[in-house]
Amino acid sequence: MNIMKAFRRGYFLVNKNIKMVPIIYIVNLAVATILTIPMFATLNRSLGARAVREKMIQNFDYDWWSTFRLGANSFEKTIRPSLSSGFGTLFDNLQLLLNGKFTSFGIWILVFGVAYLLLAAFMNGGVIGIYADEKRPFTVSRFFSNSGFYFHHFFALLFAVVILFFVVYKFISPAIFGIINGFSRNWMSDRAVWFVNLAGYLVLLFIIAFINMIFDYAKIILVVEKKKSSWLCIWLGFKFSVKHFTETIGLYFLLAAVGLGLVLVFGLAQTFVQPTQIVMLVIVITIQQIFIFLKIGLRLDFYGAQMALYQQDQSTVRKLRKV
Amino acid sequence: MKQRLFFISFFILIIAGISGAGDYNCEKVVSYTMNVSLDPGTKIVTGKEILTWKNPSDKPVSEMYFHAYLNAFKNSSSTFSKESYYGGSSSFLNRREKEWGYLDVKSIKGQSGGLFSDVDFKKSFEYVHPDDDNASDETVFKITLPTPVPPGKTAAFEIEFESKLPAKAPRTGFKNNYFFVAQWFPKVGVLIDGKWNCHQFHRSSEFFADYGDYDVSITVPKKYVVGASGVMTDSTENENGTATYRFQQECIHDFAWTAYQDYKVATRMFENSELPKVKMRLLYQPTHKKYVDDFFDATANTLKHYGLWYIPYPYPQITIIDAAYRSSAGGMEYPTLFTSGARWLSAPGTLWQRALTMHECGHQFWYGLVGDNEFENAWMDEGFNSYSDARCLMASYGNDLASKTYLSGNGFGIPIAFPYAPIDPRLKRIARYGHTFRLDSMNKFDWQFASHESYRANAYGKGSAMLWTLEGFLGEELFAKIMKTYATRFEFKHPVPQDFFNVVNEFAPQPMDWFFDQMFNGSGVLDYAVTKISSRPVLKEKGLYTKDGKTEYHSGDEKQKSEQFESTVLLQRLGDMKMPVDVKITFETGETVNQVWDGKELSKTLRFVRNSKILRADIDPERKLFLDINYTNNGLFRQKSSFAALRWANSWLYWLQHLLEVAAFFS
Repeated sequence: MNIMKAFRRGYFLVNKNIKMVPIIYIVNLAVATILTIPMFATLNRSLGARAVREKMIQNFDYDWWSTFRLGANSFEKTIRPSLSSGFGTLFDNLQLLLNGKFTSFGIWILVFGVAYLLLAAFMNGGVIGIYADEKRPFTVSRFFSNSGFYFHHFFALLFAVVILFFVVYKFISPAIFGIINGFSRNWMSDRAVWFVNLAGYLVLLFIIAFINMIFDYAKIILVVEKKKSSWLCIWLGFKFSVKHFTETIGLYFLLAAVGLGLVLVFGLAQTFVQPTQIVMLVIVITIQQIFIFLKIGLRLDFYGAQMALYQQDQSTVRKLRKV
Repeated sequence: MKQRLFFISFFILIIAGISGAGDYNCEKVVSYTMNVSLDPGTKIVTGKEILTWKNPSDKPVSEMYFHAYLNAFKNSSSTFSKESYYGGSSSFLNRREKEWGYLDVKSIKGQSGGLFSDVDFKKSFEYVHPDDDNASDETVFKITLPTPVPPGKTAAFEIEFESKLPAKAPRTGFKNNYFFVAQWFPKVGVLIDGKWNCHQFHRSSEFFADYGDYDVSITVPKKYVVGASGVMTDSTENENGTATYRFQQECIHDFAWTAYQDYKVATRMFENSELPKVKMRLLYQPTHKKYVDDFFDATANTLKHYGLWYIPYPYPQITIIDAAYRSSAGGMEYPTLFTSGARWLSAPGTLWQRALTMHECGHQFWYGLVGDNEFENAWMDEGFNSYSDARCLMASYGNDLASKTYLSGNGFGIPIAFPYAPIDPRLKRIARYGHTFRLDSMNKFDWQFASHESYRANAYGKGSAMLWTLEGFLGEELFAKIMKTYATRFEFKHPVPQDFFNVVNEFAPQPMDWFFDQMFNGSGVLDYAVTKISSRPVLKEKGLYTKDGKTEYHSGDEKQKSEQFESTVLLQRLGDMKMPVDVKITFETGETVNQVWDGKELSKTLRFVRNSKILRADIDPERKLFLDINYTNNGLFRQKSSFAALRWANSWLYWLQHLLEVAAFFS
């Protein structure tokens, strides 16, 4: 199996069915906007007529924030200095992925996150269904029809993955860092302690990525092989991931590297453009929305490339069987 | 031997010559000569101490009080342990047998040939608890003298003690083979007005002692690097694989030292044409080489600015300790020695490491030279020093940046600075503590505050905000004079709050007692706000008007040369504190009106008639009143603009979109 070939094939599939990206993007934007409207109203009450608005146009005013956060409720508390930086947002979310503290942003963001998670699980069926039957042209109705058709299976997979990640965050992660802290507690070098913890995070990241990958293949197998049992597909996904470990993990990290590249480029771009005037704000909004669009595209690319890798393997197996 | 004595004398003379040292204008109440030895295996320091104490009062003294502060770490029944536990911080108590510490006074007797020659005071030795009724606390002891020490007379004691260092206790103890030895020897209390001021060791408090001379010989294994208060005047390698280092210093009020085999040493000279030279000796961790310049630079800037603003640093040497990682020793001040710290990874552009160095070095002045009672008036060193270090930081480096350490904990963390979120160093502590000001008044002993946070809020935050506000109110030049006078007048003394208030009143154009009454004795907060602006066309004459007995009808349609507007600005006092405050009104034409509101009433409405509407109104536009806990409400535009809200709502939208995609990762 060829990783690069699968990667290219994934790109081809996304490109061929590019209309799926704006559909998912619009859902993402719509869900986020529902919460952003009250956030805007809150900010406008705090800044609209206040003289501090001038400082907040230029920079993030720490003094204003110190007062604002004291009176902030629920999700308003997520306004913080990191929003002023192109990388702050990205680190905020990387941290969330690694520490799994999903309730730390308040109940409303958790509710909307769960809602989006369900929507994403719903649309995943559409995406993979379209990829699996790529000879037929993309239509929005096929997309949603597939989404609906596979939802009960994907919901079951979602249920399973949530339990697994709960175990990871609740037991495995504390165990990893408990062990690290146990033997490094009395080390004298802060650098050595830092690096051993970094190793811990890399292990954790690998576990998270590996679980994610298994469930990606489970979804792909479920659709491609038209399986009836979601639980069986988890096992098959695991088997496939382990059997072709080098290829599956190699492809996964290749795609992740592309994502990291995107993060760096767009993080830097936002660092250099500060929206102090309306024109600059429009430019920043454009950069940010292009990034979100590409990020969604990359997520779909994961499915496309991983499906290509799976199908390559299956076609080899069939050929061998014929021989 | 003669040669060695000659060498030592010569060395002291050279050091003294470099710095102009020796001209200390201090009343020496105590003198300590100690020979101590560290056993790294047992973590025990054994020592002999000769204490000479002069009765500084005009009354005879028949009891002596001593600190035995290592006993704070002896068990969970000490006042320190209890205050930590019930204050919500119990991590200190999770320790094994060998990790507790103690100070055991083996013997205490009168020095031969002295006032109490060979009297054994162990018989009258008794632990006392002047601050609480905790009979288990052993951090203060007293002895009863057979005859009182007359005023001005001296008594000398020979004390043998054993100090078992605790593991990673607050600001003292050991970690592996790293030792930071502070609050470690029997230290006599301070006699004030004939009464002993000798407080127990508390969670929320620091220290207080009399000035005097220290001559301490420290024996450690040869491979150890030693740093200590004072100047090293001699070193001897012993036959048993140990080395003895002798440190001496006049006119200091405590002595701390450290020993660690992996310390790296660097020295530099502080030189300024208007100030005495000072040797800066840095003991740093091997992984912190890249911070050596920062340690020296921050220390030199502190010696320079504090020296020029307040009083010159009079000692020949200052020792900077980069405390070992997770040793709990970082960020603390001792005479002529302070501990700072660094992390091998820090966000570029942030100043925390230099700020910490400046703060602790600054305590050489506010604590070291102006020796307030840290137990009773912590704001007099923490508040003064927070005010001064922010000033020094601004003068040396400018604004700091907001930063966040991601995935912090367990010794990890990815520090990221946010270049578009600058922080004015003057505001950092006020922003952090401002809203806690109202829990207590400043006029409390450290351990009496409602919480540890309230102690910090009042000592650091409110103390510094008070000084910034005084500077703003009285003017920079006058306030600089006040601070210099206060520092000079109370160098090597133990000032109390009234001493500072008196100096302020001496220079201020009006008595400032009204200010100190509110600030020091009250728990109210200062918060002025502009809450409403309106500009409406002047009401035209409409209706029936009688003039000279003749009634006329005015339709209100008469043309005027230019339209007039009546504008009103509502000012409010939202806090309890009252201060005169500047008000600035800006009209759309660019015209500005400056007024002073006495700030006494709960509100005041200003009215103006102009041919232009008001653009904005600002209360305290130059930010003189740093005590104002909510400066955000001090400025108001007449018209709203949503751009700032839109900017940050968009940033938040982007963050949320990204967050949703993180959620989708699990789908």
